[in-house]
Amino acid sequence: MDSESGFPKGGKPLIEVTDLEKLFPVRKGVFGRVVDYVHAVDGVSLSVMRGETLGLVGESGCGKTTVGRAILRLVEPTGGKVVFNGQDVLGLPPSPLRAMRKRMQIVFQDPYSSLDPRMTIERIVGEGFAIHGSPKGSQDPSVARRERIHELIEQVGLSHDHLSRLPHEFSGGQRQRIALARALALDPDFIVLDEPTSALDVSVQAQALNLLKRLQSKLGLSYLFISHDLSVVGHMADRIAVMYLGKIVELAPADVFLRHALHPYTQALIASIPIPDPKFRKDRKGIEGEVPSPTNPPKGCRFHPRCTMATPRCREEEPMMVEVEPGHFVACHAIVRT
Amino acid sequence: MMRLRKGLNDRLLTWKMAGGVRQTIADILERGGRNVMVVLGFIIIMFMILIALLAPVLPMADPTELTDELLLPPSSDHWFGTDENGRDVFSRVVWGARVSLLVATLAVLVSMVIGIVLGLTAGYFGGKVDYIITGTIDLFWTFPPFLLALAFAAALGAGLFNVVLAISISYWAGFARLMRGQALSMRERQFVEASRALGAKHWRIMFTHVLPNCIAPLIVWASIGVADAITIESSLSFLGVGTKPPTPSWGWMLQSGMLHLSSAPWISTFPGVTMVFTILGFNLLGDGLRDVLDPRMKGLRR
Amino acid sequence: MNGKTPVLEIKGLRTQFFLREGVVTALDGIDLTIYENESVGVVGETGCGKSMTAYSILRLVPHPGRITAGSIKYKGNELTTLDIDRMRSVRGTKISMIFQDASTALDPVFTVGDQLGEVISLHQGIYEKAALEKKIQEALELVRIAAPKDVMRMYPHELSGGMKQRVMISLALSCSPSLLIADEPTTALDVTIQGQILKLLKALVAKTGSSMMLITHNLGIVAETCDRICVMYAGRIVEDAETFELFANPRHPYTAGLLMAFPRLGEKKAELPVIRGTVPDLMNPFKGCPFVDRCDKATEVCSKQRPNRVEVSPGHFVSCHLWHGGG
Repeated sequence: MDSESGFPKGGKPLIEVTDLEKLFPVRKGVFGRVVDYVHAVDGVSLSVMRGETLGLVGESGCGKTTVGRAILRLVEPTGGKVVFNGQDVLGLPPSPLRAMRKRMQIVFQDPYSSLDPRMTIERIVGEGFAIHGSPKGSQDPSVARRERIHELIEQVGLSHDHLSRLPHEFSGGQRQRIALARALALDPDFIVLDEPTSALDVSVQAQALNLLKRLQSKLGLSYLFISHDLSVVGHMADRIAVMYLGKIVELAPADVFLRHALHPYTQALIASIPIPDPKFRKDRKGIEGEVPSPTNPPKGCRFHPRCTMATPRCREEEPMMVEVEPGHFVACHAIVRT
Repeated sequence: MMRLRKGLNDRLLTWKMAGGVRQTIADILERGGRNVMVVLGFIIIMFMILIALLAPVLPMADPTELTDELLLPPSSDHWFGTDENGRDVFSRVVWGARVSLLVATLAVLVSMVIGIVLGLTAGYFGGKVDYIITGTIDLFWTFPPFLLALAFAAALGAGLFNVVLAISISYWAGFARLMRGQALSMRERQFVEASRALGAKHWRIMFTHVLPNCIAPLIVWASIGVADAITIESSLSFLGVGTKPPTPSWGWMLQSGMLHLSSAPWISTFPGVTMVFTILGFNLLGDGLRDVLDPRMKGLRR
Repeated sequence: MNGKTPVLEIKGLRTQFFLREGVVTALDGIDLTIYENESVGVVGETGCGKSMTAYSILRLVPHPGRITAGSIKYKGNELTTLDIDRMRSVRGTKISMIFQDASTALDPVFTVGDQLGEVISLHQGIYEKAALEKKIQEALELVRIAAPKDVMRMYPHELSGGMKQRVMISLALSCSPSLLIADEPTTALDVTIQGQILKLLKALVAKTGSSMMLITHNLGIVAETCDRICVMYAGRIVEDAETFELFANPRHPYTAGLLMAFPRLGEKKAELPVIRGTVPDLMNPFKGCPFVDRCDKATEVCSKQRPNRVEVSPGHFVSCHLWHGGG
């Protein structure tokens, strides 16, 4: 299909997003007149194949979190198309949408607010069944439910006696496991992982990432792994997309990405990562300037005010995503020219 | 005694693990049990409720029986004396408690239900719905509850249920505002979003996630609300638009005793003091609970 | 050690919290020395006590905690027994601290200029308006804030995270303290801004000649910025050494485990090696080494006896029975 979404030739993608757009109105004045728009997501196209992890990286304000939510329609997109397993998601009326939710789930960043503090773990993990009905299994639906919940809790590495407890008795890492169990309850095909380990310590993070990988291969899950941490994404993802101010600036398979990323922003990101090894201490150049606000993005290429390679064309014209080698797409005038 | 204590503790523990509303209540009971105001208020309230419930079986005179023993001061026959119609004041005070508590509790319950539903809806949905409901809340809120109740009571006429209605109509706005604020802050929590992601319908989220997390301040308000309602009901009765005679009501007694204030002060004094006592109980409970629930020493819990 | 003078000497520091449920020992015998002109990194995970060490130094331990044992000497002067007023004069002027979240450290109702001005005039005795403004401008330029004249008039909420952090650094360094404590200064910032701030910190500290204590959970940050590193676990320092030495030869099993659990760009492993188990409960005092339940190399003595701090090679100290014999 179109090279915009960048999926390898061959299979059909599980999720295909085309020109996704989310603009938030900015209201001012007594009557709340709309004076401007926050271009949170401004024409994002990507796809996720079955069983793969697509990493989505960027800094605050780049719109990556909004992309995740918009795909799931937790936030309603203002434009674009989302196709899941051949079916259009954005046009679905409420009832079929609810049914589709079983197929796509999300795990949030903050383990301390994503679980209802007044519910036991059993109720939290089993909420999906309360909404959609018990899973098929034994004759008795409550038995089937119980069994499935037990299975889920074991799958994430917790034990049965945790089920009657309340969230505040658990650590951050354990809560994320509970959130994961909740997401897996309805047998989804696709999970949006929104910074799932950012709030966790290094050693807990490692455990969580391993669990995610194991479950992916066991259950055939597809992940959209959103993070600001390139090292983590580099470890988890098959392909990586970099976002800046609402747009994707580079998309490539993980190993290609790490070997030679082309976009100046990507290179700056990679250069900024503190490496736990003093041998790599460098007088890093990094980037100057602040991360600009998505309300009034710069004209032309959005990165040009901070870019060392900016040309006059960059100030005027927005660069398109171009495939510079198989599977590797960049949106940059300077790179594409060479 | 220790067995009772242990039994209670076990029950509390089971409730805590049940989650939801029961957990909140168990929490409150546990912490409230350590607070002096809560315990004191609770004792007073229980005492009054007990008396009110037992009114029909207590060995007292009939509160409506007119006798010839007019304006007698307190004695061993008539603990609180008799009023200008020869009725036993003590008995009337006890039956009055029944009426006052019934009216107040019912009124608060009704306003709670109205307030919760409207407030929850406004806070959760926002937008136009919120706009309309908030406008209505503000409209009712502008008037002091008593005046509003007075207006409605006058319009509806005297009578027990009319009084309940009048008070409810004037009081619901407070609950609605409270609920709305709570719902607004709850709406942003990630577990609400998680529920939506699972496909939960709005009503489900509102009543299984938002509401149980807001119970605490509601209980505080409810307690203080009952205290308020008792005052309002008594005032309405005092003015003649409350409960209808011969139903004994404190307010009514206060009013009729006014004429005899210097000669037979016991007619007004005893109902007055009892009323203050009861109101104090509810206020203590409410304030105590607010202290217990409000600045939670979060850092101390592990 | 190197013939340098110590700025801060901590010996046997114990800080405990007295809760209704029991006593939590947040710090259990910390020995740490920071010399002039050096940057020391204190790393560890949540709950290991690294922030509590900083609060203890400045005697800002929140109720119901307090320092129950040990000594903290600033340039030879004992801090734990100082009276409150003298301690206050130490804070901010001799030992300064910057925090993770700049928005809570800055007063939202005063402009940046006002806040900086207050500190500068108090400590440098400059009250005349023009001179003060010039000093404020210099302070902002020092932290590389563009357009200092405009920023002076702004309120904290109008600034970005990175800029607020710079203002906080400026505030902290305005009195040229001998020791700057930075508690997770870049954790809340974007990666690219993080790089800028770290560079800035390094440059400023070198310029003013202060020492720095950098607290973080991020091993990458300390690798870049610090001369020496202390690794903390469950309220104790388990290993401390010069940076290059620590990364090249981590001796303590926890340090080694941490280094391996870090996902590194370019190294794709199927699974990250994890440290099994979880952090111990600080309420129950343990007899031996706190890491014993999670350590693959644990032996009998590890659960019975607390390991001593031993110098395994010049300047490299470990608290672990594996290295008990030393060198």
